[in-house]
Amino acid sequence: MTGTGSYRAALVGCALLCLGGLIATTSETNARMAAMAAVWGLMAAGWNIVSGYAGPLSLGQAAFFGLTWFLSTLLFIEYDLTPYLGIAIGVVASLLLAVVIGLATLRLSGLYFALATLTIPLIMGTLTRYFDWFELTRPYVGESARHFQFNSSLPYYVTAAVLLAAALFFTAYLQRTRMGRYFVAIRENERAAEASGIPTLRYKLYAFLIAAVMASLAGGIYGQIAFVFTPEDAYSPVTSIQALLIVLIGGAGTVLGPVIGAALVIPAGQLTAEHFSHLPGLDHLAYAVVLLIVAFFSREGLYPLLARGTERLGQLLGRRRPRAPAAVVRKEGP
Amino acid sequence: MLVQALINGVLVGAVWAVLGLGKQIVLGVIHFVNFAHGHLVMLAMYLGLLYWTITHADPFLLLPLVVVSLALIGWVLDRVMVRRLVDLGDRSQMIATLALALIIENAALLIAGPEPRSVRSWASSSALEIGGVFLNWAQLIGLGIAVIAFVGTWWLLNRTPLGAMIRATSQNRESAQYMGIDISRVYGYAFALSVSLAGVVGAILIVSTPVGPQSAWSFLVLMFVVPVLGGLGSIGGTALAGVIVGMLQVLSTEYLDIQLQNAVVYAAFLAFLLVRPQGIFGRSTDQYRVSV
Amino acid sequence: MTTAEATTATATVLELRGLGKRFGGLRAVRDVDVTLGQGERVGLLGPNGAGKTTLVNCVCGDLKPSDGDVLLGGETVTGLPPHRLFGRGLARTYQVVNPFPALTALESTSLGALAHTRSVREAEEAGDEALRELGLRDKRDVPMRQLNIVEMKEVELARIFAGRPSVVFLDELLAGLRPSEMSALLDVISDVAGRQGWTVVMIEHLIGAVMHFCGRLVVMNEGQVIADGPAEQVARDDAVIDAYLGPKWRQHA
Repeated sequence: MTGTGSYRAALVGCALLCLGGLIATTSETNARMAAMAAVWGLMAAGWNIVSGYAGPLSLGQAAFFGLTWFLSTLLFIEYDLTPYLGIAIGVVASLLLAVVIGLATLRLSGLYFALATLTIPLIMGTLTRYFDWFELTRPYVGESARHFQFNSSLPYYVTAAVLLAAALFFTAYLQRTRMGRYFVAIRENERAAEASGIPTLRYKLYAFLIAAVMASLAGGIYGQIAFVFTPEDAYSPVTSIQALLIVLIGGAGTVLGPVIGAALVIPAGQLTAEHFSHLPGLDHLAYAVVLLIVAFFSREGLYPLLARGTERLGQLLGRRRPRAPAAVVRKEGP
Repeated sequence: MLVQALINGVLVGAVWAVLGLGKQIVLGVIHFVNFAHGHLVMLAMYLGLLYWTITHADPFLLLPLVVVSLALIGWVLDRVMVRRLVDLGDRSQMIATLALALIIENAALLIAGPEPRSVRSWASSSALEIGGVFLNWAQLIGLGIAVIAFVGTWWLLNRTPLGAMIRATSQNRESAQYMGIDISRVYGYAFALSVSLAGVVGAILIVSTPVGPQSAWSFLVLMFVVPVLGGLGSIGGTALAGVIVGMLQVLSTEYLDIQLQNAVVYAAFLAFLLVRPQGIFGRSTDQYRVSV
Repeated sequence: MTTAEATTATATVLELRGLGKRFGGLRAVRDVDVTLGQGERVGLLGPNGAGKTTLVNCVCGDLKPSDGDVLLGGETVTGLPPHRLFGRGLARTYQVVNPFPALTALESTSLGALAHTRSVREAEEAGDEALRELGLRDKRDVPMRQLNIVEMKEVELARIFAGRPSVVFLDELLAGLRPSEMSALLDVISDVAGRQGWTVVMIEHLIGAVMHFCGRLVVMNEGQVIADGPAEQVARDDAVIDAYLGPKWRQHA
């Protein structure tokens, strides 16, 4: 997972994003879809780092996504606070939340961590409704860069795409750092990683924080695109699951995964929702079916399949890794 | 009134204890992670609703029917999904059962619509009064059923050959195989048992609570809190934890707001975890310090 | 009860004082007093269920001892988590043969070095060096899952090597090997340990293999140390023979 291949992949990702940009200029509908895809890609990139890379399956990204969306919208409505600042505040709030949640739950084993994180957005949704914030509609101020509001979705796409590109490069960079190595080791075998001198709790927390920031940014931008905030949408478990789906389809633990996944999943979801609007929930159903297929069609589980797929992809992209000699592998003992 | 609230807590909590029990079994025996457990409860509620709509019989009488339906569904799921997933590891299980949860939820949305529906029964609106304390009949009967379910499960696990096989398998899968136990069948039974218990919970709940496509997620908190709070592997702990959770819910409804009940439970639980990660009766899990 | 220790080593690197571990009512380990000198090679033996693994877990940070202390190089380290102990020079192999299947040998090895440096490049150099010590440099870019079992164990050792340990616990490292492979691996270990001045503790079931390698044996039974002394002497000790030929304990982790 090292070497120049990862930066190459990041560049390919940028190329794809540029392509997306071109598509976005063709029509407002396409621009909106592209913007959505980029936002979700950003969200997925964060999830990729914590769960694709470092290991613990976090199902609560929606918490940070929703929180930032909520805060930036609320502050804009109540105090006319520019969304840039609003989003920044959202990021800080998400970080704090992530620290608290992370410290409490990262000690739990995989399953319970997943459940714990899945529950957070639900609780936040409940709390939001309790305080009577059922729906927040952002006032329309017309085209204004200062208010981060535009008539077309293209500028949103550009913002999200730039952030996503940054995320891609960050992921590539991560692979060359000690933190990145530690993440992989923790994912492979947490106990052995601990025994090799890795403070696993601390590094899992770092991954969790990074993911929180990305989800938060994604939520902030999404909030600008979607004028109306509702707790159900913001804190829906499907939000977190969507990020998961994108990464799984695109390739977990790889640089390009989020981009490819988002490019495939989001348009598919949107199209399904539009063409079958009389059958509510069909797009979620489709997601579920795809998840099932993905979960089943890897005999050894999702990881090794994807890891091997990306090894081959890496070779295609020209990484200098010598072919391993065919070694005699004896079956390991019990 | 505090006493009333506490008693209600026990009544409510008993049901959650059964929910936790079902989860413990599937987790402890098969080590299978089932994120759709809450959705199966919801499914049971919908089935209860369906059977009641068709027959207009007393919903409590329909309970066996619901439980059997769930057991059958569990059996089918086992053959189709669970068997293959058992070997694929935690994460595949989590993802696949999440997908199952989504499927159930959206199927409910498509078939029954988004509005919550409920059953009308004499039991939900009448109560027994003892010394100034009101015991809602539906909840009282629910408690009785929960106790029967607990005792029945205990009896099944500790006094029958099948139970012995299940316990042996949960302790040591390989040794059990060497003793000639058919692991797949045991897993199948354990899963069916777990799903049946989910059916019991659903059948009890529908009498007093409405059901909607989003209901399942509220069970999620409980499904997770109760076994961990009680301590993994401890049936008594699960019962106690269920009751505690029930009391927390009732008390927060009483003194705060009904909407906050799960938030309170969750916050209390997180706080508890920070102090004692292994739960109330859990075995000391400084075993692998990194993960509980 | 311990018999007299016969150490010829110089400085004390590891000391266990009154170490004990209770699980609820069960005392898995108790009253363990052992002192290890630098460069010693000690075999830790005992029938299944004797408490060897629990003892090692207590020393290496996977468990918190209920009683007693662990001193590493004179400093009390009781109850520190494994990663901290690794940083201080206490390393351990695991029974899982291949903990990091997707990593290459070099990546796996350099993990050990990352405990002492932030720079991945430096760590990889150290990892490279470690692989060379163990004669595996040509396998550096091979994913672990493609190595054969002996090579996997050697990479394990290389990772520990890269962490610059002073005390090394080899936990059933010989499991799953054929006799010829065992002696080959033991030669390698002996070589490296000698050159690096490691203090080695070997936990094994197989007395024969350990006898070649270890000058001193510590034998446990039912949670206590029943013999501790020069290998030849201990092997003939009555209590030890009793423990091994006496009632067999069932296998449990």
